[in-house]
Amino acid sequence: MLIVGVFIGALAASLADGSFKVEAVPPVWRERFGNSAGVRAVGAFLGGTVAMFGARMADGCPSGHGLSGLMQLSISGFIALACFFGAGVLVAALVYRGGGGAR
Amino acid sequence: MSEQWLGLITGVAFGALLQQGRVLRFEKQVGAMLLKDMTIMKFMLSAILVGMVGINLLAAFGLVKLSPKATVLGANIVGGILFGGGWAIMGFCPGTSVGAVAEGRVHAVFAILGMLAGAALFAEAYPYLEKGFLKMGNLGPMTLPGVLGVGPWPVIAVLAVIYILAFVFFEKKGL
Repeated sequence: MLIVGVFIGALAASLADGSFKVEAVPPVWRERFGNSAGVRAVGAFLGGTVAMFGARMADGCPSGHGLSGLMQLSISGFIALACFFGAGVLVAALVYRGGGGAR
Repeated sequence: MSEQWLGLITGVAFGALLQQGRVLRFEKQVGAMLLKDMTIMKFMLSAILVGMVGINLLAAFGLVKLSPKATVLGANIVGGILFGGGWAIMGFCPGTSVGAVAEGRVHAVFAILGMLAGAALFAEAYPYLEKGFLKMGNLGPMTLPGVLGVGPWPVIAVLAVIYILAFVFFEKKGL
């Protein structure tokens, strides 16, 4: 029910301020991999597969370990968040190399 | 009120706030990993700062009981690195990807399908990992105050200063 709520809340808020936008390929991705929605879909799928396998193994994601863990001053939260972000920075630098800025 | 309704109402508020914070988007998530746009870090820092003080106050008054996750070095580190790598390519967070679909980012649907596949794969691998790898470096639930042998408040005070300094740094650099 929480997830259903997130969907409703984000939909209502984006429609209310006009920031709702149908997007199949985000600009940063397009600059590096071109405008193919199919390539982006495969990337999103494979990235999601690896990320969720890792999140299940680490027993949490940036919400569970990052937010909830750091609030509770949990050591596992600090370790996991450092690994999430460290690996993210490294892979992003390799993958989007040559692409433009994010802003 | 039933937990179902509480979940729905919390979810609607969470979704609307995440959307208004602009943190659901691929651009913002990858922007942080490219160290070009720290929107999601600032969003997380302020959430952690408020939550850290709030939840420890509630615990001090006995209104909630904290339940920090176990520290399992092998799984936390290897799983964390796998997550980080996948996250950079996916560009969404598991908990909020549904919100990204809701604001029109249809490619998040494929990220969600990929995550379902990843969860299924992990379930398949679990019997093989359970007895060996997932027990490596299992230290049980551990907290920073517990390790340092102090109460929570000195740690909270130091961390609050660090988080605020990080915030100031990001703002000064225009990130």
